[in-house]
Amino acid sequence: MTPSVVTVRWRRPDGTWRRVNVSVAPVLLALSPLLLLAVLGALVVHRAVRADIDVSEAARGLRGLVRALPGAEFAFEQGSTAVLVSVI
Amino acid sequence: MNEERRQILQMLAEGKITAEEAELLIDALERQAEPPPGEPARPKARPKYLRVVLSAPEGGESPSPSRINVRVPLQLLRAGVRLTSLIPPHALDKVNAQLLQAGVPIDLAQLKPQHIEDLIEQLDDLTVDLDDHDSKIRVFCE
Repeated sequence: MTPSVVTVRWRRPDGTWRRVNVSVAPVLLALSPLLLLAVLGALVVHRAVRADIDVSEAARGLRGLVRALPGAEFAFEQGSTAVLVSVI
Repeated sequence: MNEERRQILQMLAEGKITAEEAELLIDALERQAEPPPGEPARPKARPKYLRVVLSAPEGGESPSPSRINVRVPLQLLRAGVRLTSLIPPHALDKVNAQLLQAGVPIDLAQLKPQHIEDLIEQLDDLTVDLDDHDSKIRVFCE
């Protein structure tokens, strides 16, 4: 299961909560040219420094990491400030 | 409340059955729900998340009370430690040397993915409670 929505909630100074749901797919689509550049850059660096890392293993590991993200949650509260980020 | 119990209470409320009959029916339901003697109890649901809660009351280092609550899927932990197998051997040697220098004689090269899996499996029963005079940390699985 890959993350589909990231929910960010924060408390405003007047005590009311605001919530923003960010769909992951459109954001990934918008950032895809940059992501492609980043992947190509990583491959070039890998070749240049002759790093002893198995690229396919690394890609599999990263995919596992992304697929395990749903359910992760981070909440921070201090005084009147409160932020909650959760991945669904 | 399960559906059967709700139906019994509904019939009682509508006057279709008496209180004694409702009690008998609920008793029968509970007997049905209990595992038969000799059969092992159903295993406890396996935890899926590691929860870290840090709370600090007012005073101390922070001027106002603060609280941090992090929920990490155990699957994410597994995926993260699996990535450590990608660390090149020469980098591991450097890390080992630094650990030894810091008084922690652990050879990370001996740490196999299976050991890490076992370690995470055992996290199920882990609960860490740390009480400091100005903060409290709790780590547990849920």
